[in-house]
Amino acid sequence: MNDATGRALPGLVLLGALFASAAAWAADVGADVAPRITVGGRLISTLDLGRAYGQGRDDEDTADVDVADSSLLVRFDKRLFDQSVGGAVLGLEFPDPDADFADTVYYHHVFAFLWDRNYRIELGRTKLRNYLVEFPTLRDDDLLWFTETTNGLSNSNTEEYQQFGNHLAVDLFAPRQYLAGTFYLAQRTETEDDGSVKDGFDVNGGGVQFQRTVPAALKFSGRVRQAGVGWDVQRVDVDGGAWKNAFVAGGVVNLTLDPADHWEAMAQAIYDLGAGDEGLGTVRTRALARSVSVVGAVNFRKSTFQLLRWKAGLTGAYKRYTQEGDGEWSVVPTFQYRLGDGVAAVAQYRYTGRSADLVRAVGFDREHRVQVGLTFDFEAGFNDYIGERQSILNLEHGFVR
Amino acid sequence: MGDGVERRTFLKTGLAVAAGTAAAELATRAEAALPRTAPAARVASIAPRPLSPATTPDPGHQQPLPAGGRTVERPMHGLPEVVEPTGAPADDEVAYLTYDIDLQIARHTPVTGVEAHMLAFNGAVPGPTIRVMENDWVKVRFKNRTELMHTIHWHGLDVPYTMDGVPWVTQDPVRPGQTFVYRFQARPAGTRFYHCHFGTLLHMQSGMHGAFIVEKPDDPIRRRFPYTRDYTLILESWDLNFMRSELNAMLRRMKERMLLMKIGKLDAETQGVFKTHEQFERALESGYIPPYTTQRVAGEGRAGLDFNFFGINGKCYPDTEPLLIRRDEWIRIRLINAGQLEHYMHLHGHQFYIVAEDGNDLPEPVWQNTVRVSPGKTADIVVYGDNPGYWTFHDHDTRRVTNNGIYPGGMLTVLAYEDLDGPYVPRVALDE
Ligand SMILES: [Cu+2]
Repeated sequence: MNDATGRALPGLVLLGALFASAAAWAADVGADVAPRITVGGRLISTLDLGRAYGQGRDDEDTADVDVADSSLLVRFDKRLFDQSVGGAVLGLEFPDPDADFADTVYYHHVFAFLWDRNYRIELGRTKLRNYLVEFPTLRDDDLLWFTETTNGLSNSNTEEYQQFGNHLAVDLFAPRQYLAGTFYLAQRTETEDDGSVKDGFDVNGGGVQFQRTVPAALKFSGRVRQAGVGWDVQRVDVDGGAWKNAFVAGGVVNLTLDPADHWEAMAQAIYDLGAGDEGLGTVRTRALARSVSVVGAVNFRKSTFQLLRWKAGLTGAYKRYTQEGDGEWSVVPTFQYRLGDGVAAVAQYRYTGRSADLVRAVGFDREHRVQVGLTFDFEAGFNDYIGERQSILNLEHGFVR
Repeated sequence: MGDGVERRTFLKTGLAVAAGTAAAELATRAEAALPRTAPAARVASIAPRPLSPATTPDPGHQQPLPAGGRTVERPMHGLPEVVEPTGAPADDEVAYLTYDIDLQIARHTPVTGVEAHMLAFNGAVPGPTIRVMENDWVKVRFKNRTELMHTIHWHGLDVPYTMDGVPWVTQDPVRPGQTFVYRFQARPAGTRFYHCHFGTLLHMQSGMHGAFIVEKPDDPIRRRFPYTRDYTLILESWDLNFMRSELNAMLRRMKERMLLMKIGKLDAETQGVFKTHEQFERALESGYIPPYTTQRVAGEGRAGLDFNFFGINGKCYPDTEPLLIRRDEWIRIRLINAGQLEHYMHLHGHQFYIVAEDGNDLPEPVWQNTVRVSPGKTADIVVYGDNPGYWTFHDHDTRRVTNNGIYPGGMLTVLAYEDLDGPYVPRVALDE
């Protein structure tokens, strides 16, 4: 199995295939157990103004209207014969302009799942477990090269090949202690040297994560909201096959236990041992280089009468390629003013700086980027007869199926 | 007025309301069965968990009831642990019967195979039955062990207004960990009930209801219909999905509000409670958005209800308790509608007398076989055991004789003759 379907096929063909297969199974589908349906999505549209300064190159000014990372998701859950839950998620998103498939949509979530009180299993394409902590930038890939373990098998600019892939992930929970242990096998997208997706590739990695994460509904119950560690391994094409190991650690703390004026801070470090020593010239060799990434942020959330009104975050990131002695850093202030429930006017500035070898590879040593725009987030649920695994009732008053 | 005169009136009424001679014969047979002497002293009261008066002097439970989940044993610093409003005689002025009721979140099984989190008085649904004599002085020490706010309203009882249990109208809600002491004289006599009046739509259906029976020393109904068993049936309707999502949402909101209260930031806007209408209007001008407006909640909002389980005393058929009767026995059935729907309780194989409505005795009993019980109403009927067999007693709006849409289920029980050796005995039917 490979990534060609999502990359190349127009949406209609894939949807057609889904309906065709649904019809083929119809005989096995009873009408009695209707699924819970959750539809969610996000439209993020920003006007991006960029200026990059290069050593020995002309300055480059850019101006774009950017709808990248806008997405639509549909999730289905069904109660199973043994009272656990099974379901599926289908999601599509609009890729970045420099992606291989910039003119189409990318099916970033196509997976089936099972869950119950003590476990969750995901099988299919979804967001890979490349990180522990989410940072308060506008888009989750704004600081991708700092915030996630990178893919040592892709030489494409396409960020979807970093963030998404096929996996089998098993999460085991100790719900009352908010503990989770994750084991995954990943099939990351592999490309040729020219960035085109390989015709075929196998499961090429795996990993383990352990974390304690306080569920959102109980986020004010203590100072430490999240703390975890992880290990990721990838089988990469270096010297006829090598293992690339990376370690991640991170967490989130409440600086104030105040739902009206809430300060939080988060940090994460990734130590990537890399594989081989091929310099920093390409996307793939940078992913294979030995590196340390550290990201930290503080975020303020202002609520009146329990409605979030605005939030402001400041994220700083630093990555050092330890063998080459080169570095890259970024500072990102983000502001979101909510115009309504799930609708916000947003603004973000990003400064990125680089040193020597990295500048030669990327071309610029300083980049400024200003983004202003609008976001529309929504979620609508239908036929909810299941509830949430981590609801307050289920966590604090006994689990009810 | 002697027994004889009363019985003649009763017979006449029966004839007047009954259709056809068969019914008349039945009434005659019932009449013939009436004993000539005063009824036996003993009546067996069959009701959800009769509550005995407490003997300990301190409010709250000396030995907390077993709780399955998180409870709050003490109120937040600065709040009184026990609230005892004025408006009723002091403890040394009258002799109070003291009842202890607490509230916690419990897992309840309305029907085998279905479990739900509910708000449980003394750990179960429905709440315990309080049974007193008319004009008894009653003291209820209500301890709120949940993280939500509650009150107890004494439905159909004429209590001092400070004891009426309506939040923000007659009292502040009972805060998490607090004990509120209700004191009142139990009157008038009749079939009454109690329920939470905070977030009533959610709290009352989520389990916060119980029977409050006030008896008369020489009950004319019992003199006329010498019943030996006295059943209390609380009628309930649940939208388990609404309850789950709303209880979770309310718990989340309340956890945050308690934090805000702790740091002195729980303002009127956050609580949605203003001292005056002018204050509310001023808040609107400075940007407050009421929770019912379309910019904050859309469509049906949070109250979009789709009732899917219907209960009698906390249970749906086939888990409902049967009503037992013997040949030539009178039984009394007190129906209490603690739900949000109107029910039409129909008894097979018998006519019955409706003897009281809203707890108050009717001037004359009404002879029928289906009694309408609207939300908040109670109805008392007496049944005479003159047709041995197994007879269903159910809401005749058969949408409520279902469990999750599957018939039979819900609001149905069986009137069963104890001494019957019939050719057919009831099975447990789940699907027709
Ligand atoms: Cu309540």
